[in-house]
Amino acid sequence: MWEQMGIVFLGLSFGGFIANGLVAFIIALGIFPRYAGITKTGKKVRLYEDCILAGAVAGSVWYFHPSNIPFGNIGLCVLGLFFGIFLGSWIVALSEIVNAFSIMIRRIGITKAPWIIILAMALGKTLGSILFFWKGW
Amino acid sequence: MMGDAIYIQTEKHVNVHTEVLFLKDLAQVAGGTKVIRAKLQMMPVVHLQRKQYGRYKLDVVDLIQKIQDAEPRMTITHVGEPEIVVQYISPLPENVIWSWMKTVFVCLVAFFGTMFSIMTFHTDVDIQGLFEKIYQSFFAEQTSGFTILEVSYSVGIGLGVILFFNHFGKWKIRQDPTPLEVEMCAYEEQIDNAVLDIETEKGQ
Repeated sequence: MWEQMGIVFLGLSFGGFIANGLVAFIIALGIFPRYAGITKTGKKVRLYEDCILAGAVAGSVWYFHPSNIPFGNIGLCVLGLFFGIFLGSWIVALSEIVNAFSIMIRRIGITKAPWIIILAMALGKTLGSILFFWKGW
Repeated sequence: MMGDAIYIQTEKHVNVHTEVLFLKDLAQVAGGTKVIRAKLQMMPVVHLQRKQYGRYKLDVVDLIQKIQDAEPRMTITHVGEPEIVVQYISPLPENVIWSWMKTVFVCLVAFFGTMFSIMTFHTDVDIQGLFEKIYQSFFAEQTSGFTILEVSYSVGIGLGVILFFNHFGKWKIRQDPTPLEVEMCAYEEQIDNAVLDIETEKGQ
């Protein structure tokens, strides 16, 4: 009985702690304020927070208890697409936090069409990802 | 002498829906007589380009100049920032269906994205192996991989996020703005500052 309660307490504390860290990180990266700004849906941020919560719990449960998802290839395609969209934003946001691109652009002195760099980055990441899985690295 | 001074107060950021802006849209006016105030408030001061929605920088000195031209004998005192960011927004409400489609899209990214990051985190730190060890030190038996520890951990994740965001759905723990709302404001302010910087650079 005491062991049960102890392990439940541990589980709750671990989960609470990890969740705080993870969510704080996602917020600090500023992905969702930007998405809300671009889509002009700033009034819906509460809803986005609920979705972040649902995603964290669902991901955790699914990780420990992998179950059959009956959507086949289409489901996988949707899942992969959204994983990818999020990770793409995540990586760029992360490198932006350390000002990698703004410093680089300033040093090299690119004044025209910095969007080419963005496009090149997007293409590079997509190609890199395809190459990685195709070659089985 | 009474009524010789005009005071105007401006905010950093103003949302407008029309192309012709009157002084009352941009500033609060005090001082002078009632008649002068009414006249100044209804004075057109800015003409934006029709339907060219976006953010514009406005120097308060230009406003002061226009007031001075209209009332040459008045002394004008300004309270607030030297520049205003005017955001010209379409007066027509955005298509509701389109707006909801975008909302659903961001919701899906938020849901699957967080799901993905918690799963990659678990794989990265080998949480299954760690929980196995913890479970065995409690019960001295093989774990099934989905025990009370994993369940309570997942519940804890939900609780942690609720505590962090300080609300769930419409229910709130405290009447403060949530972290995402705070971050949203910071983001809007950064954009305003960038608009001011870029416009100032252009003007030089």
